[in-house]
Amino acid sequence: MPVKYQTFLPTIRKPAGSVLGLLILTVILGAALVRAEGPNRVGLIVVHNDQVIKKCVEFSEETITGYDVLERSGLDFNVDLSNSMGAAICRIDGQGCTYPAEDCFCRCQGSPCFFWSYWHLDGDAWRFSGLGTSNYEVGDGDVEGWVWGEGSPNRGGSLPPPVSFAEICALAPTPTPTNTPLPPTATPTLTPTYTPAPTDTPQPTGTPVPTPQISHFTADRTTISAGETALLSWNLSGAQAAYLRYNGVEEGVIAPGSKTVSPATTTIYTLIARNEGGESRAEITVIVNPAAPEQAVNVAAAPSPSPTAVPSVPAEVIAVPTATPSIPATSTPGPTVQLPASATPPPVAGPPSPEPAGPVTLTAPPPATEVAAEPAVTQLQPLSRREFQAGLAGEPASDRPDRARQLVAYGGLVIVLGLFLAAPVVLLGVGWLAWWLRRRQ
Amino acid sequence: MTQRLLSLAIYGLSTGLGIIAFLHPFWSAIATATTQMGQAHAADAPLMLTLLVGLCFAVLLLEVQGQVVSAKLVALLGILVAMNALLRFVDVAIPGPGGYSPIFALIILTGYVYGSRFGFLMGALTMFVSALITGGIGPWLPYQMFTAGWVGLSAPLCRPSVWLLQGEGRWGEVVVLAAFGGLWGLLYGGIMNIWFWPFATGPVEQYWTPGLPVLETLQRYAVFYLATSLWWDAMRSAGNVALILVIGLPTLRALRRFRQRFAFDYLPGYRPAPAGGRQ
Repeated sequence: MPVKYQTFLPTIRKPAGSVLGLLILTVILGAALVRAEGPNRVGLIVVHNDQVIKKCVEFSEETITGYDVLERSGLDFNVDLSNSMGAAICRIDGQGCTYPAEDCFCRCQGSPCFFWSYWHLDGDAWRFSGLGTSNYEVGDGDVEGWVWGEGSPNRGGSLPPPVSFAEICALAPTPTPTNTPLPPTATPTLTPTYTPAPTDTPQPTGTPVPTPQISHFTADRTTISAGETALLSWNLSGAQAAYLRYNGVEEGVIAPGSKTVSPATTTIYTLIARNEGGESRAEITVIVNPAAPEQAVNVAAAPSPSPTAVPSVPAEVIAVPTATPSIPATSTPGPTVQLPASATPPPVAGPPSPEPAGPVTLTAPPPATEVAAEPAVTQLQPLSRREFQAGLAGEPASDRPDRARQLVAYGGLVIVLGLFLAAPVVLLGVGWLAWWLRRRQ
Repeated sequence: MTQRLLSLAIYGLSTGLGIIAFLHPFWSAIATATTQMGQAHAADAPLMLTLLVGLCFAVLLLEVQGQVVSAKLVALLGILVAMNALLRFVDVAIPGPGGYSPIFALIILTGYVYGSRFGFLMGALTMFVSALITGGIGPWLPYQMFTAGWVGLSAPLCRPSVWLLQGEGRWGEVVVLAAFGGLWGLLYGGIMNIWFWPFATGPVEQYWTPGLPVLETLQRYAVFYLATSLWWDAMRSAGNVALILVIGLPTLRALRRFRQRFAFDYLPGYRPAPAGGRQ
């Protein structure tokens, strides 16, 4: 045998091996670089009085903070950085207070309390931000909303109008500001149908404005057991804004749209479509039967089934596997903050829109319960991770522009599993089979 | 004969101990009480570590006594472990992408050439020594030692495929070993996750809760793995494949030359009879 090895020492093999190895390394590195480059974009919508300003902000980093987005949008804004908890936004586009000449929340010294509320677009619903602007990281495809008002709808404020990333960015790739003051007679410039179904009729443009039409509002099942989910879907036309109301909360939605719900108790879902001419409503009642005892244990992480209260989101912020950073051989993917992303439908029974406790939530990295409502997952592979979570949780196909990325992520999954799992197993299996067959002869 | 049986029993015991260590939280009531991440296994990890190290040394002593010539092999093991620990030290200083670590290539090649038992010692001791010099001692260490040990332990599984490809000393051998390294890149992560997974919480469809049926546990783990560690581990797989392809042939030559020098009873050609090469 040893002699045999000597004969396999020809010098050609060595460079050949190195070249092959280097080639593979290059491919791997190249792939990593390709992933990192390319301008990322985030949509920004600022609403005050009759002004709706939409901007598409480009950046080269993987993620930037909400503060960076404001800064790079070129909009006028004023900020109070004296708060140790983070930046407080006092004024945007001339609306608000000027710090330090005035208090940052000079318009919120009693009632009514006006301030800049901060929102994130999550799928097709707006969520009140649980984090301050300098603490919230946004990535490609995200949409940020700022509304001058009284906070969330049940405090008297209003959500940003329904909008999609595609509308802000894909249609206007250059980051030119598009100031569209709403005309007083309200020709619906902000129609909720951003991805109109083919059958949609054109928007009415004349006056008087007819009330919006809800063409359908259905649920795939109206009776479920606790812990199970129901899929609501709807379409409507002619509306300026559409909301889904349940448990005393209104959540902005776009049409056509759908939402997977998993209420802990029987809940009435009301779809509300509004425009200048009035509003239309449709209702669905999802009846929840009490769960079997065993199931109840399994869904222990679900919100406590208090019938009227907004379900609280489980507040688990886990620094996973943290072997020390100096231990690369552990399999643990670095310090990861695992949060129940509200994009994954079950078992969070409601929109986790945490109540803004006055304007303070704008400035402060909030307590753990509010952090939990944020799907701001800090991780090594934000992109693919998010895609996987959404995909694996069976989220209905969203019309977000990162659909293509989802495909890439799943393609990568197939390649990785095929190359590193299936191929070796087949190779080893065939070897053992052949050896076993030969031995039996 | 008695020596062989004893030797076999000790390796079997080490592996069994590792499996129990990984899986016992699923049955243990402690799992529900302890949810603090850093505290996972805080109580039993030191015990495991002591037991494992004790068994490793028992194996070593037995090997030394059992085979007169293998005192040299013990020296070789020491050198290889030191080299590998140094590689990991370099990797800590200059981190590679994701879960990449250069140590697995040498563990696999050594286990493949010198057999399962040597490979097991190589893997486990590499983790132990490198943890000492990189400051990586913690409750995860015994689990790393077990898992890296299994990498070396299983390396001789490549032999039938190499035999089939008539590849000994050729590219076929290196390709089989590289594929094996790719497989272990994912497996290592998949096994290592289990040390904390029963204690972690998060999205319900990704995490374990006590009382869950086996099938659903596996399903949730699969989702968790795909969502959190697949890409991290893929980097390790790719690194293993690339490294074995690059250093495979010369390293195998060097290892075999030493095996001859030390008159280890290697097998002329592949014969899977238990003649000492593998268990």
